[in-house]
Amino acid sequence: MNVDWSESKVRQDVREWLRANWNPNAKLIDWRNTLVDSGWGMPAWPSRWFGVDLPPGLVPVVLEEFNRFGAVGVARTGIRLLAAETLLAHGTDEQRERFLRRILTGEEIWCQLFSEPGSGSDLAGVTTRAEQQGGVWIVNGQKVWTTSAHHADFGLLLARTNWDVPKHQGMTYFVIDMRQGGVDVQPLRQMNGYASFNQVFFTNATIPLNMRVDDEGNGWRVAMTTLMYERRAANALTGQGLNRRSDGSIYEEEAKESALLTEPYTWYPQRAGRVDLAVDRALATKSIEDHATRQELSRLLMMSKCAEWTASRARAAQQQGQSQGPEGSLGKLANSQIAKQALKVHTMTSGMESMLAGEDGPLDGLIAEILLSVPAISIAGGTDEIQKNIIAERVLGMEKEPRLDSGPFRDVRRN
Amino acid sequence: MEFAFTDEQNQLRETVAQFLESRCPIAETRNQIRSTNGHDQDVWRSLVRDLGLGGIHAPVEQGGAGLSYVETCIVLEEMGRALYSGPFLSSNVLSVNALMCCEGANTATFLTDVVSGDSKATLAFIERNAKWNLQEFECSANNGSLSGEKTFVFDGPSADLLIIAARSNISDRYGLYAVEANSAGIDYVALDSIDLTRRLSTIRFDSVKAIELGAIDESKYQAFLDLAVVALANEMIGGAQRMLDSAVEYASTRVQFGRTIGSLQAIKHKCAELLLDVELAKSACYRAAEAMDHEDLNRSQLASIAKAMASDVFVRAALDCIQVHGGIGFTWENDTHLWYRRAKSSEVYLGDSSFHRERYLQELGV
Repeated sequence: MNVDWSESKVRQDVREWLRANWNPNAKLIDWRNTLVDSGWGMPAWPSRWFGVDLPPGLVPVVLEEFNRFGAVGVARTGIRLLAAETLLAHGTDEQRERFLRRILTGEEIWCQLFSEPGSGSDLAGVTTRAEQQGGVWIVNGQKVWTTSAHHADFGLLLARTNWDVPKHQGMTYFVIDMRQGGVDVQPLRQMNGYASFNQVFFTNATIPLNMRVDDEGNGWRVAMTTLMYERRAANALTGQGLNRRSDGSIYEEEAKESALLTEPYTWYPQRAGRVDLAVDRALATKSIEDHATRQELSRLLMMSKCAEWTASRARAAQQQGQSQGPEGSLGKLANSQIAKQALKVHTMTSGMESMLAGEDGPLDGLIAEILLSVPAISIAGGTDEIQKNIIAERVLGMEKEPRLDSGPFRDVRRN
Repeated sequence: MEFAFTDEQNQLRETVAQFLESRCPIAETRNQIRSTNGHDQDVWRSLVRDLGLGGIHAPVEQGGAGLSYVETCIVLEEMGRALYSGPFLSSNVLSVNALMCCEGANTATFLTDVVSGDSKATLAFIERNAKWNLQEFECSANNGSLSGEKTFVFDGPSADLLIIAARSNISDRYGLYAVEANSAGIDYVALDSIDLTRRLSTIRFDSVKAIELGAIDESKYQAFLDLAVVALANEMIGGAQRMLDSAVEYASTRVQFGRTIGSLQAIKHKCAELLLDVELAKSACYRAAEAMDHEDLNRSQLASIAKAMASDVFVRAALDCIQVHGGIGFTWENDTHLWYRRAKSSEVYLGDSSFHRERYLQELGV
């Protein structure tokens, strides 16, 4: 369908459609099905697949109108949209038919099965194996750092299918049914006490042949698509504020859905160091009078401001048509340094009280939670060291390190 | 508020960069170190007259380009990158700033002369023991006669016009005064400076004939200091960027153990960390430059962030650059030390990073 979209036409069409269809007392599933059929749930998607082929630049207009009405959108929590975008880009029509609608309606929950105990920074070193036997794929191995695996219906699985070619060429991407006997999900407890992630063990788990995504050996390429969308979505993970225009039963249903999947992220602000608390803490503890504390506090506030401005410069460059590339790595590295500096400042302002946690600790344990969560920020989503490699090689153009893993994967040294 | 340079601003940067590259490459700057004035008079004149940079943010009525402080800072950043040794900062930025904040009857003429390049000016305001607080000044003017001592004066002996901040004959009042450089009663003492590309001197005044340009109070003086600090900070990040570029370039060509040293993570990570800090400091400097034209923003806060960030990153960039070069980086022949000297000198001028971190908190009201 070729439509000549303009901002006013989009606005008018969405408005008319919402006026005719939005009902805050509908059942969430019924509303979402109506929405998915209309194409306004994922307007930038192709009209063949629940979209209206809207130019991406006009999507914010649609969101504005939804917000004006207080209308609930498609399900967005967790990694479901990464799954959807990956299937849209690489899946078969059969897979799209089977999964896309139920991803958007929120009926089915997804998880991402990439990292392994033996392959963290070196994601392409996965050793979970999938072998074709008797008309199915048989999966054995272990995945780790899997968010929401215990709720998930389906998983995006990266597994090794060929050990005789170089590592990047021997992986295949699958959709695996998580609700089967060969899949064992165990919580993984972190050093800060939370268990926000899982370990997933596969023992002769099975995958039907038609659940392979893209060709055998193409897994790395497909995984890159997923990771690209993951980076884009990184800032939106914790859900979006919805403008409630009126009361309605649909909002309670939606809140329940989002509570389930945002629960693992409650400590994420602490992971980033809670710069917002620093000045108040310094005042409350009177450490603001200490010269050394003042210096570190000031340093923290400056770093934080400068990081904001640098992100704004990167956005402006993007708007001028320069592509968003490794600037993401710079931002990630900046956040990591800011969190470490905040750790230092919170320790200085709390002094010996920093020894205490829980109800005995400063701010009912919030300071302790910061001190115990910050170490994650320089590891999760790519370690600082990997970010520095990316910056040095892609921004500064420095030579890559010679590789020791270029031969057949079978012969490569591994854990 | 998103920050991006306009096409015109990018073009200005390009023009200045090309000019400096062709007219004062570092080999030429090295020659100038041994010259009397420390810079090539023709190059400076060409910057002012051919490129029209004599008063970038000065009003058009006085011959200026009537642009904003952002353009001035763009030019300074390129000069910092090239380690330009001429009196652009002292005459065409700091002196222009001082003249622009005066309402005296003669000011317009002085400004016109400085902007056109007919006159080279410099500022004398800091006093012995690096005192730059207004209340600490001892130098004073009485009925058109100025006496006292000023130090840390940039490009002193080559200036035609000295602009001096001093006590006026009314107690607790201060003013800016203009003195012709060849007036009787002026004594120049050249100082041996760590930065070989910026001349420093002490100037003694003994009943020197001075023209009052206008009164200054604390808030006017702070505004002037903010402008000076932001100008310097922008010059410094140009230097920091040059040090990063130089380190990366050397690391990408120097081979040890059968590979470029840039392929080693120890070197790579050092450069990546430096790039981050240079970018953070640039953001602070650009934001501060922009704020100088907007009275509503807290300019002192932004100026202090810019100077603190620039001071730390320039010194670190120069140190890292020396380190990446290894032994050759510590030789006189290698150019890196010339920027390191500038970095160390600019680091402390009008307050080091600790000073500005403290000032920032005070400006925030905590």
